[in-house]
Amino acid sequence: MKPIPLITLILLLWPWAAIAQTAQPAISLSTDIEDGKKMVQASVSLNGKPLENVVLQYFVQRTFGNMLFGQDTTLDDGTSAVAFPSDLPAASDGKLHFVVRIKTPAQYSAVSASAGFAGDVQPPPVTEFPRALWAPHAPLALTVSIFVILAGVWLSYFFVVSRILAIRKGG
Amino acid sequence: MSDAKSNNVERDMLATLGPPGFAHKSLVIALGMVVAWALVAYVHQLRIGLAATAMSDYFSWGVYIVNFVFFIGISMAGSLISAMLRLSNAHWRHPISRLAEAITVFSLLVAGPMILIDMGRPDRFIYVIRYGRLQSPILWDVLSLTSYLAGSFLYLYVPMIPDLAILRDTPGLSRWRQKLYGTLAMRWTGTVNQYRNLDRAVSVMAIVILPVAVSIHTVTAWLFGMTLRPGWHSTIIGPDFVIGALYSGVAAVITAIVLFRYFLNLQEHIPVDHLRKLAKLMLLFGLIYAYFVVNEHVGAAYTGEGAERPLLEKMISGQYAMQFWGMIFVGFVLPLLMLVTPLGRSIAGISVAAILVNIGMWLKRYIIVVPTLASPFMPPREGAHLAYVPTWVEWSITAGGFAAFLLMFILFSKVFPIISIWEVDQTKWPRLAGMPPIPSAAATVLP
Amino acid sequence: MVIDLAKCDGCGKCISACSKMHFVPPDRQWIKVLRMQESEKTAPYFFPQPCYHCDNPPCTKVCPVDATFKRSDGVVLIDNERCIGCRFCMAACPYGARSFNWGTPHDPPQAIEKGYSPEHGYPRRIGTVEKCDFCPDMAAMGMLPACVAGCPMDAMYYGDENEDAVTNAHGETQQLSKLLLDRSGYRQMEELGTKPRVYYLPPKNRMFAPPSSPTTD
Repeated sequence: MKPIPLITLILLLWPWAAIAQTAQPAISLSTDIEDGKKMVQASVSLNGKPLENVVLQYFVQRTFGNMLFGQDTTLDDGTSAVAFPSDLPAASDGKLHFVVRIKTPAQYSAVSASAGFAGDVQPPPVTEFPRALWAPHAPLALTVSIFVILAGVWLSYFFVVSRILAIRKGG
Repeated sequence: MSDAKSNNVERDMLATLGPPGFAHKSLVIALGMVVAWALVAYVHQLRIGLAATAMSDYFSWGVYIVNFVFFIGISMAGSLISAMLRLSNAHWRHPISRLAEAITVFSLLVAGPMILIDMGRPDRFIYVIRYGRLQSPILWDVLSLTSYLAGSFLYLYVPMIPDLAILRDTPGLSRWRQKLYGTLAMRWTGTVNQYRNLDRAVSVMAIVILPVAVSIHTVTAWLFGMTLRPGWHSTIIGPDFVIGALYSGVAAVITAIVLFRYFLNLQEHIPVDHLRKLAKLMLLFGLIYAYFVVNEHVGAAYTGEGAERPLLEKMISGQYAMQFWGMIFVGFVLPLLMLVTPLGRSIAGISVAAILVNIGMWLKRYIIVVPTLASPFMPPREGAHLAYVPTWVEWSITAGGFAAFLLMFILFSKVFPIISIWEVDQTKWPRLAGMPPIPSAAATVLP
Repeated sequence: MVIDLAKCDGCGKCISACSKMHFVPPDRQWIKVLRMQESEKTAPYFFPQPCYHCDNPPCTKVCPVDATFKRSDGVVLIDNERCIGCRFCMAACPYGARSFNWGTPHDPPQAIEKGYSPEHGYPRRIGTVEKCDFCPDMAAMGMLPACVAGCPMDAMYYGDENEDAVTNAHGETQQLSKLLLDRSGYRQMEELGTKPRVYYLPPKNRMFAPPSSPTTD
């Protein structure tokens, strides 16, 4: 092929290829109530058009990894939904942080989105250590008992010493 | 007759305080050498750590703890003779109560350091006081031990005040003795008020020292009882240690009396009858303790429960059979049999029985501590070696502990009268008119 | 922590990972892999046993100086600047999780450089106690403990109980409560009342042969 037409062809096609490569779908997350059940909804669109038959995996972010709690395929309107994990405790900010990833088609598998929604179960509050045998502070009953017994014993000793001193004084 | 005898008390006690003879000197030197060797062993241990012992991750407690429990055990002697016999008005205790109380003080003075020797970081001992947690049985033991030591010290000293006054008033003693007795005698002159104060002080001590004595053995038992291990986690362990202490305490008193009678010629003041009475007490406590030992093991033997069964098997027929049956035979069968035969009326028989009991009770402490450590709940990991054979360091320190105990006793008897002069010889500090008399030691209540 | 006994093949990589990370001397193991068999006819199985960081820890109860303590995040740690070496905690632990520095420790230079913290337990001090610490310094960075991360069979899971999630070496995270319910999780020697924080999943449907019976003493 002659060089100039080739260069022209490349120059004409390259933006389209570039656009085709950067054309990744976007996922938007929301919560919704369907048939009385709370759901997490994700809709996938590519350049504004909803994508059908995309398999999405739904995760909740946890400290050591992301926990898979559901998988769903998008409908013709690009939406999919999975039951909201109402039994999972929220993070310390009161929210569950979701991550949704595309499983198939494979060329989109790098696409993901995340959002935080208020969780239904709050994490347990941070409690101070109770007074316990295993904790830093002893149970009150133990402290009081030891104190009372020792006081009784050592007060008697002091009494005995007082008698010794009384003997010294000559009776 | 009693007058002549009691007049001799003062004379004989003064004789014991005189310049040391050959027997005394050689004993002190010999014991001193054993203690010195123990110090050498301890310094070696300080340098290389507890690796100098045979202890390991499975046998995390060993002979040092056995010694600790043993010496705590014989400390019951003083409270028994001084307090219990006083409260039951047994006046035959007078010649021997100071000796018994001295046993208590010195055994506690050996038990305490034995724990320090067992610690991995003795340099941090002060942390027990600075950062102590009341939830820990070790804290209970520290509190109880210091209370018992303080109380026994008082109980040794207070009844000695009139004797110290006798010595203060005795002419011809060396300068340092004069100063010592003068200071410690608390200006005793035998007035009515002084007697009253003395009586009150001793009465209070007799009552207070008993629960404290029970507490030291109970909390020592709870060092084991508050864990979850088979053989240790038993409901009987508190009373077991208390009765065991009574048993080994009496045996220690008998042994001490026999030795002092022989070396200091005190036969006149501590008649055989006293030894026989003590032997009867030893028999009684021995039978009760044997009952406890049976109770301890019969449940596991009958049910074959869980972790208890391999532990019992180790003791009856396994790794520790020699120590277990040695303990049964030497600590119970032999001495108790001896005591119920005519042998139990002779001094030789009683002394041998007492020594056997002492050995048997040391073995009993060993049986309490070591076999449980050899029977963990979880199987040992691959390559773990489950055996404990104490090293020369541990044996040297054990010998040093016994030597230090005897040495303290011998030195004590050289400075203070081992028999209470004023309680045996009523003429020294006569009761003034209007005061209730002290019944003489010759008038005994028990058969 | 959740340990799946159906997946443990006794390879011991958890032990090597832990020993490497903490410079554990060869005479002790912070996590052990034992061969267990409850009785003659029941199945033998491999049993990884770290410290359980119990919620009713018998060890912290008996420490006289507060050298071993439970943190609010649940881990039981040892402060070897405080430990007096009485070894009461070793006597009290029914699982035998603790080891002692009987002799002079020989930590490598990297350990000494790092400086002591109860969170990693080195450089060691003579006359003090040590044990598995659940790698709290790793957890603070959101990383799994060395043993969990080193398990090639995914037999170990670790997580935050408050999040109701546990994760294995391959990043697979499961809901803790569901896992224990489905797979009938249990705790070792529950009857002791120590409330261990390590759950085991029974060795059912193993994909490889069980170990031979351990020899009995």
